[in-house]
Amino acid sequence: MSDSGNNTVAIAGFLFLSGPIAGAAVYRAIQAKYRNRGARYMPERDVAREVADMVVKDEFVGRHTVSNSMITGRNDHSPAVRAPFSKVTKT
Amino acid sequence: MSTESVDPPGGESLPARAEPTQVFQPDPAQLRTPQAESVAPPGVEPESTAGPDAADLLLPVDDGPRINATPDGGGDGVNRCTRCGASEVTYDPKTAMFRCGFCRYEWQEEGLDAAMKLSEGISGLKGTTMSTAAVDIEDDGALVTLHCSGCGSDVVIDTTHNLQARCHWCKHHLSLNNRVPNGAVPDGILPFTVTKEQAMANIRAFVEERKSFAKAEFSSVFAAENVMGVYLPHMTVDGNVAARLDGVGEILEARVRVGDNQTQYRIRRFSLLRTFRVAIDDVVVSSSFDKVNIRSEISTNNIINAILPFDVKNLKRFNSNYLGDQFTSERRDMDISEAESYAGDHFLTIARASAASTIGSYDRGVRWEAEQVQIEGSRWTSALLPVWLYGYVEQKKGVEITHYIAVNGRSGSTMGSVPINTGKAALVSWSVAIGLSIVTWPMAIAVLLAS
Repeated sequence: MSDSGNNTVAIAGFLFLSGPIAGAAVYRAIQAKYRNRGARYMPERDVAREVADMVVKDEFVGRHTVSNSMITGRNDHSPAVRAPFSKVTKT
Repeated sequence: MSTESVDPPGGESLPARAEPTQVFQPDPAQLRTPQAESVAPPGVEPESTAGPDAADLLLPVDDGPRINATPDGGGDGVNRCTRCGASEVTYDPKTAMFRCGFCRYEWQEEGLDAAMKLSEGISGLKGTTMSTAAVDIEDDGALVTLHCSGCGSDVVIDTTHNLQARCHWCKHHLSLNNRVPNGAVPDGILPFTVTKEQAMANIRAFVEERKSFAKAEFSSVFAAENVMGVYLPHMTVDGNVAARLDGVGEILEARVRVGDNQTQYRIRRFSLLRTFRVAIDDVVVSSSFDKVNIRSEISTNNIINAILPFDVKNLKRFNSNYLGDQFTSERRDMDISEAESYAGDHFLTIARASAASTIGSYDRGVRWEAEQVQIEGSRWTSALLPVWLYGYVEQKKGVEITHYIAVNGRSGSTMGSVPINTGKAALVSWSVAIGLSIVTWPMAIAVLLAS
């Protein structure tokens, strides 16, 4: 299919889906406002702390060409969501 | 694949560098109190500018638990005015003071933070330190007998529900102020400063904003007057932790257009390692099994969790006069060994947030693949924290779900869960979907036909 054909399909697809997507978004917005399921204590924002002896090691791994605009599995903005490997030990 | 060390994204020449001590202070607005006091953590000097080797961070060290003695309370039995000795003592949330009903004398209990030095020496904590009333609960039952010094009779208090009772004979108030083995009496208490009227106004406003899709049964029985003032059991936890984070970060070099519709990204990828120490001042953890699980399917416990933080620097030595006639309390039923996994989870969260300032140049983001904290020292204090609580039990497919609307008894911060009329919400959502589709689908068909 030509590039203009791809464009036409993309535009038509967007128009077909915009109604159902808007409906789903409204339902989710009502759930979020009424139930507040995601509300929680935020120690990362509310607890005083003092960080010391920070050691930073950044090692270049390589150059790549990828199709995602962000790193896959990005989690630096969600500190309360546990990383794939997570461990707490006590002395 | 070859591996080379290059300048990190910040432009500094290193494979590794040590950064100076960073201090994080929470937003003071989050900790608004009538008697605003400093919440600054104690100064922590780094032990060395070079920092620990990553491998050294997870070495075990043996150390036993220690008791940080809580100052003596006011004694059990009749509550008396500290000036005239009368037993008509009440707590006024508006002034945050005790008041003698006889001589009108007003006073406050001593602050626990200063008395027990709870903000000091966090970076030097080793092993587990606990306050007197935070020790493990002994199963001694809920009933405690108090001797009335007014008339000599014995009065039984059920500590599951109350820490105060009136002598049946002489009507003196009798209170339990000192530690009992069943965990009912904490080290400290944060008295209510938000009045019932303020809490009712907050709850009304919260529900008013959500009346359009609220379940009809909820709206018909809603009465803000039914809000209850409850002291809920918590632990405040200080932590001296070593943290290690491993991950991958990416930096964009160039966008490349492939054809007309596709974009590809040329990136540089880095392996990231962060090791550091964090002195954490006053994480708050629920010490009630009933409330600690914030992902419960039958109770919206996350709502109570979400009205944190409390200004725990203003904790007072426990005195059951704070409960009076208008507040109730819940008994602690978790030991430190059962609460520490929740504290550990918060420490991991804080560790991750603490590394945020070192990854700002990774414009495509960072994927943390491993996070570890080693708790070298922790300090636990048991406390009752004030919550105005409105509850509603929803029957849903044979399951009872408890919805809470909670008001922080110190800051007035309000959060809630209102049961939804799902039929109405679905109808509106479908209406939006169909209404928009009526406009967009003919356009889509026209685009396809025109191509």
